Amino acid sequence: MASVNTNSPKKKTKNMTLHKKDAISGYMFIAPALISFLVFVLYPVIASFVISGFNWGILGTPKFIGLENYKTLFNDPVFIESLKNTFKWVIIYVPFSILVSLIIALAMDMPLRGIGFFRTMFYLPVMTPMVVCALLFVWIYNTEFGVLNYVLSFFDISAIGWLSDKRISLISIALMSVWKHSGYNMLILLSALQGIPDSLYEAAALDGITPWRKLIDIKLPLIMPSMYFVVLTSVIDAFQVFTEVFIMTKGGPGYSTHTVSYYLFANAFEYGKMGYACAMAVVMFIIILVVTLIQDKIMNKNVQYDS
Amino acid sequence: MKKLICIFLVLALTLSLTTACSSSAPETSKTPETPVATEKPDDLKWDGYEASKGLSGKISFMHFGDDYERQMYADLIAAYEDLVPGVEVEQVYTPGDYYTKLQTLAASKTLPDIFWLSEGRVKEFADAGLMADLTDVLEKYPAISDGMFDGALDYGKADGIQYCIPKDYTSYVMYINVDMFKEAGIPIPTSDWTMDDYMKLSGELTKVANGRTTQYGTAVNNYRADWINFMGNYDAPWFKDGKSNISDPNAVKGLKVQADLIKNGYAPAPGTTGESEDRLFIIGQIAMYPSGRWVVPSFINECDFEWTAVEFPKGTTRVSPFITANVAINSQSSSKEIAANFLSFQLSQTGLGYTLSSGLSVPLYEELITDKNILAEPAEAFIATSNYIGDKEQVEALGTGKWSEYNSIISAELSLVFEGSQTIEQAAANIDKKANETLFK
Repeated sequence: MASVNTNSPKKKTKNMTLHKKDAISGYMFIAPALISFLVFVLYPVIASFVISGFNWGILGTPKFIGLENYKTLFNDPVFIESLKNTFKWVIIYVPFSILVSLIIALAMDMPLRGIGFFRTMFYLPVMTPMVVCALLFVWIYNTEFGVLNYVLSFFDISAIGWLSDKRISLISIALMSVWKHSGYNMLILLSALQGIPDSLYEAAALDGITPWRKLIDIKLPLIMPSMYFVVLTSVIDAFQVFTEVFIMTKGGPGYSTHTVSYYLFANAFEYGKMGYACAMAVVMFIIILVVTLIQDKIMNKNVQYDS
Repeated sequence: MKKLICIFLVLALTLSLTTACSSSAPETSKTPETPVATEKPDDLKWDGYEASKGLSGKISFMHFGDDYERQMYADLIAAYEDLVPGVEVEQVYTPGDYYTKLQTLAASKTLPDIFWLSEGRVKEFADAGLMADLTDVLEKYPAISDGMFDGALDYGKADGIQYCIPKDYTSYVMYINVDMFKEAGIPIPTSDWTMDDYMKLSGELTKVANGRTTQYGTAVNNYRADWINFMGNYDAPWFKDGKSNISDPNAVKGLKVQADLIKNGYAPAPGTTGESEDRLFIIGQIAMYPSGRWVVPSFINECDFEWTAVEFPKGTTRVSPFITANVAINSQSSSKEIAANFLSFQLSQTGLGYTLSSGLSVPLYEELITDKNILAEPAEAFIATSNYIGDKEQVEALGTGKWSEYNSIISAELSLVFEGSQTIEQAAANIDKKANETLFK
């Protein structure tokens, strides 16, 4: 009996043409994102590496100086101070931000009437531009007539220099940033919490599980993939903190809130040292890359995926 | 059909990404319509009117300032376009981050035809070859420099070449809350008051209740005009032979007055933006406030008490820092003739009537400074400061091209003094060390 050869050259050609067409369609769909990545991300990154080897003030002619910018950088006390402040910021901001987001997410996961309203309220600061939030908090934190010191005065607490005292200025900015960003992380963790099957809770309830054990043994392990994402993105964002510092303190008092991003901006656009600023950008790129790889190595082991 | 729609959508998306990157370079040498000849108004005080006849094209004009200023310059542009109907002026108003935008435009070779530049940026832009030499412009429009205060043009020069022209200026004076003085039974200070008088009055006018200061005698800013005033009024050579010299005893003496006002509780520690100090005066919590002319429109519109301005207290002498914005013409502009003509209109008596009417700044012309139609109240203190405007150390420091970074070093060290973690002597030593090792090698 004659059989149909399904692998005939005609069919093969037809399959390849279809495959090619599918591939072309796919590439066309990702083209906008790919082009914008190449133009707005990859090209500037490569340009930063190149420009960091030049003495260039954006207005004048670039002059090749090799690794001089890097040598100057590691002998620049303001850069060292900025780097320390940036690490301080990451250490203060990231754990606090994630803890707050997790607590809010756990609260928003409760089946209460009107919970949607509260979820919206917690997310509202995320939708507000950072510049607006920062300006608002400049006035809230104002030593003389800020609302915070006004409230404290009712408890006989003398006026605190929230942004003018170098010991607490960075923490004050971090508090504002946590308030602004916690809604975003809350949303991610909340969706992870809501993805946990009820059958697990029912089974655990039969065993008489306490709420604390429910949190530790069921909720936290199962939201680990989302938690991993939240920690990773929070750390990367924290290293690049800029807007809050630029609006609220301009790096002061002294250099107490000088972060690398702010110092980079000042060198690039105020002091006319674009090459030097690019060297800082390259150093930050390497630091963030190393930290992310270490984080990935440590956290990935603990991430459990629900099968 | 589906595939065609997909292809169209993808192309549309890709195109939408690039529309934001389009150049905003001004069109030049455009002839919109045949210009209608206008008759010269009788009250026009502008010597560039004859030269404007026959001019046509479009220029872009970039400036900073608050919303009052934006409107003033919009009115100025409208008036110029009425007189020179063949010319269109595009107003590029940049309220914040002006220099970031200006430098980015310069780097992308799309600098506006005419733009503002503060005195601290002239050298940097001159070295980059971005500004046209305006010597010929001054010769063609002599009224620009006729009657200008001696030395004013120096703030627009670099290496002896006139690259830009100051459009107006502000000096620093002391704003006085007259109601507070009347309530305390203290007479308003006069021109011959001293730093010691200032310290004494600040103490007398500070009120404390239940451990909180309810009224401050004064306020100070961590701003170059304040430092220059305090140091300059003790004749301090704070910048000498190309080096920072803030450790000079007279400079320290002057800055110590500023620091002691805060240390004694007579003034609040300055904020980073300066807006809170302006606001404290407006809401009537400060008796005396040193600042420039730029606060006058806000004070006129928002203060609900009687106020005036007097000269800054003197030390062993008196100086007043020269704070200005220069007007420059893009060296690559293809409409330099139009730009020069527009510049001449800006600095004419008619033009200055538009921009100075709100009280925002002071004219640079001796004849105009006493004209009440140009320099609105408070006028007397500003007229008096015109006799000693300028500080030679300021001019020398500006000429290094490192003014911005030098400012940052001074500001950072002084902020630590104001919050109490170092003395003026320590700050001065740190400033000189940092500045002379890194900037003025």
